[in-house]
Amino acid sequence: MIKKTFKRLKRAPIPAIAVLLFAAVVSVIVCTLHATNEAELRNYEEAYRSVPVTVTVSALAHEDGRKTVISAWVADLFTGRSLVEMVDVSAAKDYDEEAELLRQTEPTQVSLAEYVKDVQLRVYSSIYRVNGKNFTSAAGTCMLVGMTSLSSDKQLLPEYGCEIKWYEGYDESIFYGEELVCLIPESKATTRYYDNGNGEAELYFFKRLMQGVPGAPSVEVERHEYRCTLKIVGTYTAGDELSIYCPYSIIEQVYSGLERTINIDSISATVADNMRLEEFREKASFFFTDPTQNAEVVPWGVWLSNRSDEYHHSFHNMAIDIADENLLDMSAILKDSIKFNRTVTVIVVALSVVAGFLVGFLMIRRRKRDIMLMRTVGESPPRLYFGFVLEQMICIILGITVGGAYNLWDPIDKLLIFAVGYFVALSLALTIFMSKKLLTNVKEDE
Amino acid sequence: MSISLKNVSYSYKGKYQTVRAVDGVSYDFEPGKCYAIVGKSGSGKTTLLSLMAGLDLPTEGEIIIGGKSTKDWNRNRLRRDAVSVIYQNYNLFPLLTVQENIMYPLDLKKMPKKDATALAHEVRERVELSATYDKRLPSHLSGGEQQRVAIARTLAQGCKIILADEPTGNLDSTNTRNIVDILCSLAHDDGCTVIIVTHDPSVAEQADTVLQMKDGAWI
Repeated sequence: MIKKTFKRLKRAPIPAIAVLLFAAVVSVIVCTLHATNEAELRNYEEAYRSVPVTVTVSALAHEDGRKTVISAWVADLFTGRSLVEMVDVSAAKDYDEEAELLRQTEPTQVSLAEYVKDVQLRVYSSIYRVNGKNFTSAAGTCMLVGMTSLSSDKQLLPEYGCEIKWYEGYDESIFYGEELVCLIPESKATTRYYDNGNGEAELYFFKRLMQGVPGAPSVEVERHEYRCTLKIVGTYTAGDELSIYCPYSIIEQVYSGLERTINIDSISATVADNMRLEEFREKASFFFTDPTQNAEVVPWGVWLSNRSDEYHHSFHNMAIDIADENLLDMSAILKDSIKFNRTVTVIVVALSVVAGFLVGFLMIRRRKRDIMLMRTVGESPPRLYFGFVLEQMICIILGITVGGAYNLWDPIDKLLIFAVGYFVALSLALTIFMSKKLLTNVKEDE
Repeated sequence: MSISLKNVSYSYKGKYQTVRAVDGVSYDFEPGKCYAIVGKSGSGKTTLLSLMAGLDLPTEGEIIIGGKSTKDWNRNRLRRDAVSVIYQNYNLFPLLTVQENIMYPLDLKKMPKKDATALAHEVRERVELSATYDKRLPSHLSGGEQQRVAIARTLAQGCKIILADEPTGNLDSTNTRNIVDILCSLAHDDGCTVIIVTHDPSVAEQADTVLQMKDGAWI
């Protein structure tokens, strides 16, 4: 039957070519639209990924106004350098139940490190002058900023007006390493305010833990101190000019030196992949509240694996601010554009189905006499139906293949809708013509 | 194979009213004879022929072919195996060659190609067409030649009842005579029942029996 069909198509090539060209044109239009949509989607993803979204963790104040602190383990959560293990104690009704849960439940290892990059951690430090081996006097305070890359703080980037003068042999790669080096403000270098005279910054960290009862003076129960000397390897001119920038590893050394009792001022980072922003937001929401909303209080407990005796219990006293406004604005604009293109595609596919319906109907109508002749010599309706459908579908499939040769597979669903529409039209037309009385057909033919 | 009409009537809905095209017709057509049905245009002769060809069923009465009512026949099979029709406008498949047109009913009967080709050659020669016609398309043939091909197709079909609706309507007198001769020989030599609908008196003259119709009934 296929051989005979091709023979018939060869003997009446013009209608066959017309159907083939029609299918090819539809295929070209659908494939082009699909390619445009795909390109737009790719652009959208690229653009979506390129918008920087910064996240900042800050400590909230207690109800009585006292500021709370960000614990060292939160830094671990962001950098992944130390493992954080967590037990969800939200189901516990009291401390006894909570303790029981902590004993019985296998901790879950958690990390947000895979979602962020360019982590920056800020701690207050005192600057001391050195006199021999001892610190003599405090020269002031500064903010020590530990960073995993130069991009961790935008103030240091040239586009924000910052100029960095690296001393010989040093560059931004210092932030990836563990060398005891730092960048200081240009103004403080010239006045030797941060410079101890040896090209070094002397930093001193001090932490007291107090305990007391209401109405009585607090008593110091613990004291921790840590000093470090950082080699100055460059200067910068920007921002508040109170910060000393150093590799992130130094901050780790500091809070290790202070037995992790350090008060972190803030932690900030950039979202590594914006496509995973919602995943990150969901995970982060377990530890942090949204500063713009009244968050529901959810208790949780955290163990740090390297300090199993340390247990933190919190009621969302830290907030996370995800600065995604620009991302959302850009996303809304691009989404509108993509939606418009998709609507156009749907309309074009629908129109092609309608056009296919008409063409299919006309093609069968043109062969009405052949159908009548075949029936008068006793051709069975299924064979007749199959013969005509096969002939037309060969033209349509060839047309679709030729038209979409460069990109046929991706929009195959839309092309199939068109082909099925054409097939339905053929079937409908054949059913209509074959349901008509043969005697009427013969009389009409006469 | 005999064909009997038992009080056959056929009505169809016209534009404004129901038309009774055939009105209570009865007749027994015998094998081996050539019949001519004559009558004016609109007398119902073509409708009657179409009913005998199984293109539709009578609205009243019945047509018995080979001892079985057309109501009981599978009508595709009836048209394929029992009754063959020759039309005034030849009704050849325009995209098939002469040989393919002749072989078409054999293909429906699933006859092996080799046998079908041999039979097609035999019937083509019987209607006095040479082998040079085999590869020609109907559009390249004269009216008489096309009608011969139509008859050859009927012969190949092997039906024992041959109905011809104005088979010579578009032909000159020489071709008319030749075609009617062939049809009559099918009745006399092959034992077929041949029924020719015509308004041409010269055609009717050659038939064994002439039946006249007026307003859907015999006169």
